[in-house]
Amino acid sequence: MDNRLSKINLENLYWLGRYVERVIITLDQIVDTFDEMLDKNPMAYQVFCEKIGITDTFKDGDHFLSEYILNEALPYSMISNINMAYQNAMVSRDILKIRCFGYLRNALSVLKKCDVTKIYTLKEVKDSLFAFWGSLQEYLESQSVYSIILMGKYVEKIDLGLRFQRGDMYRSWARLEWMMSHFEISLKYEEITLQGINSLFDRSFGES
Amino acid sequence: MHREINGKNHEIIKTYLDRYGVKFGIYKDNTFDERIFPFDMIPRVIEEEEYKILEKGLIQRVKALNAFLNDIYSTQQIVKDGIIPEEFITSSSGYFPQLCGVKPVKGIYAHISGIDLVQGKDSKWYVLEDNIRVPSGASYSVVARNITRMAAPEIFKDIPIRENRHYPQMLKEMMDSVNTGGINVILTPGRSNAAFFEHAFLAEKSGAKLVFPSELEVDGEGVYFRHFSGEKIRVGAIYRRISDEFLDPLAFNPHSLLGVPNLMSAYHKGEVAIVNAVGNGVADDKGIYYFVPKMVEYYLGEEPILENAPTYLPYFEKDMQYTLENIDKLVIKDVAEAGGYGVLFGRDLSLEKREALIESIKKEPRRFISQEIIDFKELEIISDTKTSRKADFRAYVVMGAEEIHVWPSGLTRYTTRTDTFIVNSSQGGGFKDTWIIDSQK
Repeated sequence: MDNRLSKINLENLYWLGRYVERVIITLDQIVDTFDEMLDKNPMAYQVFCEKIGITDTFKDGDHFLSEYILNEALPYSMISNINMAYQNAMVSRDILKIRCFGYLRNALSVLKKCDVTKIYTLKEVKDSLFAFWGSLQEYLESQSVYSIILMGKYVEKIDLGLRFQRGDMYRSWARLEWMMSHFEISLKYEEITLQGINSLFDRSFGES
Repeated sequence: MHREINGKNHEIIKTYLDRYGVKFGIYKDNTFDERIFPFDMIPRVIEEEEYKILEKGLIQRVKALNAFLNDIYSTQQIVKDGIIPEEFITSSSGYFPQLCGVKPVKGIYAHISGIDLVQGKDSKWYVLEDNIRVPSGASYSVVARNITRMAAPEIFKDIPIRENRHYPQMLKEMMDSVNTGGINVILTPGRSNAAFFEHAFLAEKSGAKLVFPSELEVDGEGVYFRHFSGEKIRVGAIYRRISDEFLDPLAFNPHSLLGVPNLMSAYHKGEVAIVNAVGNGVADDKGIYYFVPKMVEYYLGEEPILENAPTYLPYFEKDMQYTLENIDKLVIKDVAEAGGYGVLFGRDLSLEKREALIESIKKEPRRFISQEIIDFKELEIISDTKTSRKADFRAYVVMGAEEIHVWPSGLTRYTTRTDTFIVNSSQGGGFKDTWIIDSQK
């Protein structure tokens, strides 16, 4: 295990992984929702809200899109999530390296300039986030650091997979289990819940 | 200037600066905001020949300041010999009498010095300030150079510009030279610090571990980094980016949440090197600045190579009289302030404010210095029309246990407004890279 990781680092890296993946998956779901709203059901966004667990206070689909994607005052908005990923990356910059960090910063800048009436403009955000994942694999020297971020990623995949019934959830579960055994994190099988895994990365982790 | 320095490349560079998060924080109306540090692609150019003189002068100045700190925290011979009045030492907010007799590792106080200079219209350089507490800013030029090389590579093929991207390596070597056995760390007060970008950048590039105060602890005599597993890893050198007053709540400000309890105890025992040393504030006090040329003569027995801007101390009767008689053509500085605050130009003050300032100077002469206004050189900046702005130059001197080096570059800060001489980033200033060029090559 990397001998220079603190509890704060661990927590930040784990949540970095979660927030980045949250943006990627919700971005996919938003594109699907938008598509459905176009010619089938203009109120399809309400299903999205229900699944993600937010109260529908929106006037209509367009209002939902603009608020959900770009309203920085809403803690669950896409821009808030990517901003949270950015904040976690910012405090981990000495670990992440500037090259990896740049892709995340770019995703944030692109999203800020995004035109929600032209949903395809979100694709560039996703491109930058995928580039971010790739850069981690390419440039990170510490396998431990990479694995902790990935654990956050897979936990998020499972969480949102359950909400949206996504098929890739089972593969993520298998990967997460493998990683936990790799890190010798010993939880009894029945204790492995999302809440249980999150609690591993709060600041009490490793307290003896 | 080279054809590649143009608006188009300038835009590319700005995009990259944003991408790399090259920012500084600013507090305004009690809120923290993070801004891109405005960068201008046209560099300050210093010819190698001129740089060599500056280099000698800077090394001389920092050696004298380091000798002064060694003296002030031991026998205070310079006071006994009547070179500096005792009051200037004891009344300095950066002086900590409790540190007398405490020797930093290998006698190095001024590990990293940021010396602020300006170049007059007659091309003569003047030192405006010595920053030897926690001088910031070097990383901005390193990042800017990296990006400029990508955006405008032809320039670097054509012009022999001295490399500046090894600053983090200089930092590492200096820290290694004073390390007492353990890892090097950069101690940041946190994400909301104005210079957090720099803390993280220097940690990444120098290989030091970026740490927050709660990640360090003093156990027994040593300082340790807390690994998440509970293991403690010994720390040998701390490049702290936290002011003295907040470093250790048991030694200084008891309300500090940024400090590491008992850190000073480990420091006293020589168990850890703190970069820069604690107590340096006495040497970069604006009042003490007046005496630096005298320190050069006193400690090194040499003629000072670099000159101060003509400065007066109202503490001395003659200087008080001169200051009061000429206040309209002087700049008055409050020695307790920094970051461009507390700088008043007599000519800009209303009658009422002028009178109030005069009263303050008479009441607390030690609190102020007055200086002749140097009409310093303007540098061209990229704009729709040909424009230039006032600019200063911060040179960095890195002093390790065996070697002392001037970084062959620096941070050139310029005013973004035409109506001010204040270049500080906290006051809206921008920055330029500084190129040392050997045209003979």
